[in-house]
Amino acid sequence: MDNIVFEMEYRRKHSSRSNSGSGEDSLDRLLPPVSTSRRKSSNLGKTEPPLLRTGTRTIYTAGRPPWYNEHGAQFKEAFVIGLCGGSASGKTTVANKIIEALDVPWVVLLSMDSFYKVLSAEEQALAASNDYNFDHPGAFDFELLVTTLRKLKQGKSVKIPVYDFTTHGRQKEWKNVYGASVIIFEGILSFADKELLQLMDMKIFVDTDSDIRLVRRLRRDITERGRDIEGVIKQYNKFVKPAFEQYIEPTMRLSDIVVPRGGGNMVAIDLIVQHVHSQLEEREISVRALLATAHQSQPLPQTLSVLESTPQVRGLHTIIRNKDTSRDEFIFYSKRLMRLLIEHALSFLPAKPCTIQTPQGQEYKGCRFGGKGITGVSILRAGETMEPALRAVCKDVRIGKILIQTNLDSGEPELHYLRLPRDISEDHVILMDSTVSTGAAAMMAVRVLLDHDVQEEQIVLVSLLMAELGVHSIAYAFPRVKIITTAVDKSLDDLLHVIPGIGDFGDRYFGTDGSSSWSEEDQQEPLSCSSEV
Amino acid sequence: MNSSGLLCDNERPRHRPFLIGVSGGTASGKSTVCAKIMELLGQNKVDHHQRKVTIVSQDSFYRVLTPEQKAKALKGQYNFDHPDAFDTEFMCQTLKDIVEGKVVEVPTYDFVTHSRLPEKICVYPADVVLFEGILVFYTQEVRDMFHMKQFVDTDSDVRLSRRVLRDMNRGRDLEQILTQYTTFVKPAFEEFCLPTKKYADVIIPRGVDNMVAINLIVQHIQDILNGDICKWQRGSVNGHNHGRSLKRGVAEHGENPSGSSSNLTKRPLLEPSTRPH
Repeated sequence: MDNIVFEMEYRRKHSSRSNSGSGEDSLDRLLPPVSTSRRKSSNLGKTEPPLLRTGTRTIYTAGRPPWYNEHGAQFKEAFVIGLCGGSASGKTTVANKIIEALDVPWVVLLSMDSFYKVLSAEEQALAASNDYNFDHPGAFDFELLVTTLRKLKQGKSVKIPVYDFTTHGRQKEWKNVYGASVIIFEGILSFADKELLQLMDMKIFVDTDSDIRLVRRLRRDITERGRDIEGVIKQYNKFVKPAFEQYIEPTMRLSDIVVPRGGGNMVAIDLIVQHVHSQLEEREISVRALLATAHQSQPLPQTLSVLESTPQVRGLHTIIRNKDTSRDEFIFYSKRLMRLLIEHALSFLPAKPCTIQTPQGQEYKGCRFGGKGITGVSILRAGETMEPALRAVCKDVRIGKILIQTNLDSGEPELHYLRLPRDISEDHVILMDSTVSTGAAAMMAVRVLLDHDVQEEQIVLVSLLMAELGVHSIAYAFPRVKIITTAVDKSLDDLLHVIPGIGDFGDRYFGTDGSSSWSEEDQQEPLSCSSEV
Repeated sequence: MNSSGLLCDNERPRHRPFLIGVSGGTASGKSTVCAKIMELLGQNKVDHHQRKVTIVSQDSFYRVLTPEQKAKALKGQYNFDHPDAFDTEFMCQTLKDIVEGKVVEVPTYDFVTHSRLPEKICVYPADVVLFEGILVFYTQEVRDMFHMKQFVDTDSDVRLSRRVLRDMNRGRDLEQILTQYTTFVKPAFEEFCLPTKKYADVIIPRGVDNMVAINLIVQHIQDILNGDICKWQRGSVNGHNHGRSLKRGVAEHGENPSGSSSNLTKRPLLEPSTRPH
């Protein structure tokens, strides 16, 4: 049983534009409702429900605070709670009650049941006649288990096998798990491996009477699964009980706390929850305030490339920075500037020589993209506006989305939603945000990409407008990320807004600043394509 | 010495049996242990009148239920594991009669109708009486009558396995069996039966599978049936009343230099502490 924090969806390279648009529309509906009389961010308050459910998706609207420091490194490893106990002792119930009592995301439940070994044909036959010992340490893939837990503890995105108890094999698609500040790892033999034990910060043994465990097992296997009673009791006395007494019960001495009576023991569970709360708080840190005071009077980094300030570029900036520009003109000229920006960014991608034949039968020594694939990742909300420009320039590009919002109370960025293409780790990633002030949101997004094994040197951050401070912050934390923009403003005001700036790009673009009366249809206008003569 | 021998012969009581109490949770194997002891002593094929070892079960002393209680019992909602389910006074009186060497009649309890059948079992005077049941150590008056107390300590999940299979064969529904177990049997065991384990002289883990312990007990009973019974009875000569006589008998027994006896009495100290339930 896995608690999937994020949904990972595979977007086909050849999906049509209309499908993409539909995707964008459906995504917009997942966001908190927007009131034209209020700024969207003010909808986030302590009274807001933590969950937003729609269809098959669950999005936590209480976002994950920064889990890394100003160096961009993971601040503290995830806190791992190991839960051990006999079969049907209530480990999963205890785990779920802890998660329920915490009432926060970023707590991942990892079950050892996912790591059963794939059975051979001979072993399958034994299992069918209740003669295979699923309670023996040899039945588990400890090597994969240790590797997975270690990566998860380090903040990485991991894949979890899905075990099919009917075929005793693994399903083809594995589940992705990401974003753990606390990991609850449960299994009957979770204390059986020395390396696993070393990864745990707290070890809990759920000690339920053996006859109660048998009652539950009988109810589950016979009443719910329709198995034969004598078979269940035979298997219990032959495998389950001896394995418990030989491999599981002796590990009780390794635990830090023993919870008698399992899931009904609320005193013990509350005690554990209090401790986990403390651990969660230790893993939250303030990044933005640190960024705001760093990197004074330093030269801009070499990884920065600013679009040449031609009269055309300055002209576009004059229009979009003007507070009096109407929304439709704002959109039109922003799109033009985005296109120029994207074109410029693509020139930084690796190329390799390529010789072709022209229609005249002559050779032409050219070059082509030297990487494996290109993925665009937009930082929502405003970064999404740059997706059409990327699609127009870059054929077959895949798109991912990262929703990051500022917590009004703390001023910190929070990760709310993540949807990345499958197997992004070898791609070159164009990370898109409309503006960058302190760089806090962009840093969080880069951290997410690195956690998904994207190489730092293959990340290109593109933004219409950046503050010097943001450029420094990102370059300091991630010195190999390329930074592409059309202008760098000198400073920030007390509210950490860019000065002279452009205003709130997202509000101006989507008409959510309350000053626009444009209809909904205007937001869906097709991409305009101007050609200069 | 002649005078001493004469005195012993004159005052030797006739047919004063050695009482052994056998307790333990439901389906722990108390009856099986007793039956195995009888078998190993070769007593199971002897005619009742001539038997030197006999078994009495606490199950015979369930109270006759009222119509309301019967209705509950038929739905599995009556607690047969509570001390109040037993006719303790009748049980105590019967044991006293046995100790006095009388022929006693023990009722036969029908678990289908939850009442006593007209037929009764005659228990004839014997040298050794095994009295087995889940709560035979619960009442002090009964507990103090035993010269030896044994507790059959079987794991709770093993006991549940046996009970499930037994009750399934009686045509009962699994969910009813499990509910009755978790609602009545287990709580009553933990509240009334398990605490009496501390009174035991011998704890037999794993029940009938524990042949070392059973053989040890059989050997001890064999000694009682053979010559050693004189030593035990001689001790009671010095007493002047019934109660005191019993106590001295036990004390005398404890001082017995017999290796088997000595080993038996020391065994509880050597037992590893069992897991708390």
